[in-house]
Amino acid sequence: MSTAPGRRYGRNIARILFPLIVIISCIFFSPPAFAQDPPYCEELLEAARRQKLHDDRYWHILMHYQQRIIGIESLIDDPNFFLAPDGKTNPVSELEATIRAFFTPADNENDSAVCRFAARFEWLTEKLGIDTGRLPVPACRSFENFMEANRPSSVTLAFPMAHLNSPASMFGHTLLFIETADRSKLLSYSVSYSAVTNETFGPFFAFKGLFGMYPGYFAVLPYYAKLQQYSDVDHRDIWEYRLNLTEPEIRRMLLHIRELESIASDYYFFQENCSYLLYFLLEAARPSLELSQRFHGWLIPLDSIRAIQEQGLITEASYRPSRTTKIRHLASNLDGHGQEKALALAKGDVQEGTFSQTDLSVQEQRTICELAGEYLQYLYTKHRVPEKTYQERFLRILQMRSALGISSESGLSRVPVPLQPDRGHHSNRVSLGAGIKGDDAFAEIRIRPAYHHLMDYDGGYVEGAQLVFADVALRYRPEDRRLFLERLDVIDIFSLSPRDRFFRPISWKLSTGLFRVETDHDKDRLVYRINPGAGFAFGNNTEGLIYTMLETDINIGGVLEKNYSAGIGGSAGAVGNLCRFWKVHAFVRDIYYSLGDTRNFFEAAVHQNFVINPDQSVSIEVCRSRTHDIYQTEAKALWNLFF
Amino acid sequence: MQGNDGLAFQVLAVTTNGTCGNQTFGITSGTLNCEQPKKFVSRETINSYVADNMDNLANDIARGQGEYLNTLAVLMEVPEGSRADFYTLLQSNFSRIYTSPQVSSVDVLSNIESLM
Repeated sequence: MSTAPGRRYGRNIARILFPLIVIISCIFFSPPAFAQDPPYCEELLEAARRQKLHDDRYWHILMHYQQRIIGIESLIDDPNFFLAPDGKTNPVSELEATIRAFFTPADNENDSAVCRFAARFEWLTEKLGIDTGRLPVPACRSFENFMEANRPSSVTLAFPMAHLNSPASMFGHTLLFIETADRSKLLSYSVSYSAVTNETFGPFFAFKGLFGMYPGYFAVLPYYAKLQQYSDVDHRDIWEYRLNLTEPEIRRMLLHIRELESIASDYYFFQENCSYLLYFLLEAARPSLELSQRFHGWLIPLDSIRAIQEQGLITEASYRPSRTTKIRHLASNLDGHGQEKALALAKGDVQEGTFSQTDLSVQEQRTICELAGEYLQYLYTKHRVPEKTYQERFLRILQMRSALGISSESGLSRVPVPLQPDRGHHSNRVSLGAGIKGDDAFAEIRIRPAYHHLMDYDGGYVEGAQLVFADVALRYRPEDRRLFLERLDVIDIFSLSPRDRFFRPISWKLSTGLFRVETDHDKDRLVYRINPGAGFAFGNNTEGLIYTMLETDINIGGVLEKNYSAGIGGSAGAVGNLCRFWKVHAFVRDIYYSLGDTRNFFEAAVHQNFVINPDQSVSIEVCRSRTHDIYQTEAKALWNLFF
Repeated sequence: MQGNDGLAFQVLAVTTNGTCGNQTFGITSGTLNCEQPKKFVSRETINSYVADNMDNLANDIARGQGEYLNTLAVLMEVPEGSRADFYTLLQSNFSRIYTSPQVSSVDVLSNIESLM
C-alpha cells in the first residue's frame, strides 16, 4: 500500500485543516442560541448581578412575587407578563430576560419591552444608570405624551358600599381614581380590578369566583363611567378617600398600571380580589408601604381601607350618595302631598301648570321637580319606562325645574353624611357570655370573622343589610361538664329594605349551617339547615322597621325521622333603635314541617343590643320556643368585642 | 337600604371596547361603551363628556348647579369668577339648549356655545 508523496501530503493537510475550518465556522457562524449579548447588555447584566437587583423589594413589588413555603411565585398568571419561561417563579431569570428585552428592536414602539414593561424600564434605568441612547427604543413616548397631556395630580380610593343582591359586591368594592391638575373628579381615570365574566347564574358565579376560575383584569375608565354603574344603576353610596401620594409616586403607579393593563390574573373573591391588587399599585408608588405582606388569608375591602389608613395614606374622606339615597332624601323634605305630586310628575300623570293652583313654596316646587327627575331616571334604569316616553317626560320635568331658579343651598350637601365606614365596628367579632336553657346553665363563646349583623351597631354599614359568615358558637355546660358546638352559621344573610311609594323592594334572607333541634328523646341534636325566605318590610331605618316573611326550612340530620325534615312557614317582627345605643328586635316565627320528620316549630323572641362603643356591645336575648308540644325558654347575655 | 326590587343576582361585566358616539337622553346601562381617549384633544373630550353624561348634565343645567355642570365649565375653560353667570345663563336658556326630547349631544354642545 503506497501512495504518491504529493497525495499523502494533501491528506495530512486535510486532516489538520478540516477540524480547523469546523472550529472557525463555529465561532463565526454560530446559531442564535449561542449568540453573545451585545457588550453593553452584558455590562448591565453584570451590574444587576452585582447589585443583586433580583432580591430588591421593588422588583418583587413590580412582579407581584410572594414568598411561598418553597420558593417564590408571582401572583400574576398571565404568561404575557413574563419574559422568561420560568419568570413566574424565578426572579433572577425574569430580571435578566427583562434587561435583554430592552435591546430587542421593535417595529411599533408600543410593542417594545420599554413600553410594555414601562415601570421595570424606569426602575432599572435608575438603578443601573442605563444610557438609554444606546438602546434601540430609548423611551416610551406614548406614556410620556399621556403624562404631558393629563398631568396627574392626585389619587383617591373610592369605596362603593355593600350591595347584597350581587355576590361580587356583598362586601363592597374598592377602586382608585387619578385626578388631573386642571379637571374635575368626574373626568379622572378610574382604575379598577374585577373579574371578567358573562356568567348569569348566581351560584355558579359565586362558586367560580371563590375558586379563582375567572380572570381578573384592570380596567381604566373615566370615573363618570364607574359612577353611572355604581351610583346611578346599582344605587350604592360611595365614599371617596383622598390619598397623599406625591406626583413622582403617582408617576410610578401609572407606569405599573401601564404594565398591567391587559394582563389577566386569577380572581379570587376573598384573596386576590380588587382590594388586594390595589395594594400592589400603592406599593409600586411608595415601596415603603407595608400592605401586601400583611395578608392573612382573606381580605375584605373595608379592612383594606383600614390598613391603608394605618399606613398614613388617607388625607380626607367625602361622601357621594347614590341616586336612591338622593331620592329618599328629597322625599323626606316633602310631606305626603308633595311626594304624591312628584310621583305623579314622574309617571306622566300631570300636565304643565301643575303648580299654579297650589300654595307650595318655590323651594318645595323645586324639590318636587328634582325628585320627579331623579325618580324618573331611576324608573328608566329599571326598564320601567320606554325610551321615547322617558325622553319626553324627562325634558318636560327639567323644563319646569329650569323656570324655578337656583336653590340657595346646594342640593347634594344637604344629604346627611353618615359615619365613615372605616370608623364603624371592625370585621372580626368574638362574644363571651352565659345563659340558661330550660333548667341548664351554660357559658358561651362565639367567633365570627365577617361581617355585620342586624343587631350590631349600624354606623358605617349599609342599614338593613346583614351578612354573616362562619359564625361559630360553642357552649359549656357545667352540670355535665360538656363542651359542644351549639351552632355554626355558614352563611346568614338578611336583607331588610323598606317599601314606600317610591321603592318596592323585596326583603329576603338566606341562612344555612348547623343548629340544634329538639327531638322526641329530649336531648337536642345538631342538624344541617337551609332556610331561605322572602317578604316585605315597612318603615324606615331611623324610626324602625316592621317586616313579614314567608320562609321554607329544610333540615338534614340522622336524628330526624327519615333523616330529613322540610317545612314552610313565616315570621314577622319589628326592629328599631329605641335610642342611639339601644336596638331591639322582637319577632315570632312558625314553621310547619310536613315532610320527613313532621313537627311544628314556633318561637317568640326579643333580642336587644347595647352599644358601648363602635367595637364593643352587650347583647341580651330571650326566646321561648315550642317543638313537638315541648316548651322551652332560653335566655342569655353576651359581651361582644370587634377587632 | 337601597331600592332593590329584584332577587336575581346581578353580574357586573366590564367592557372597555367600542367608541363613544353621538348620544341622546337615556343612559341605562352602567357600562359605557367607551374607548379610552388615546390622545388628549380638547374638542373630542368635551364631545365625549357631553355625550356620555347627557341626562345628568341636563339635570344640573335645569337646577343651575351641580358637579356635572361644574365639570362642563372646567372643560369649556370658563373662568371661576364667571361661572355663576354661566350657570344662570344656561338655566334660563334651557329650552334653547335642549330643543327636543331627541336632541343630540352634538347639538346640545353647539347650542350652549352659541349662547356664549
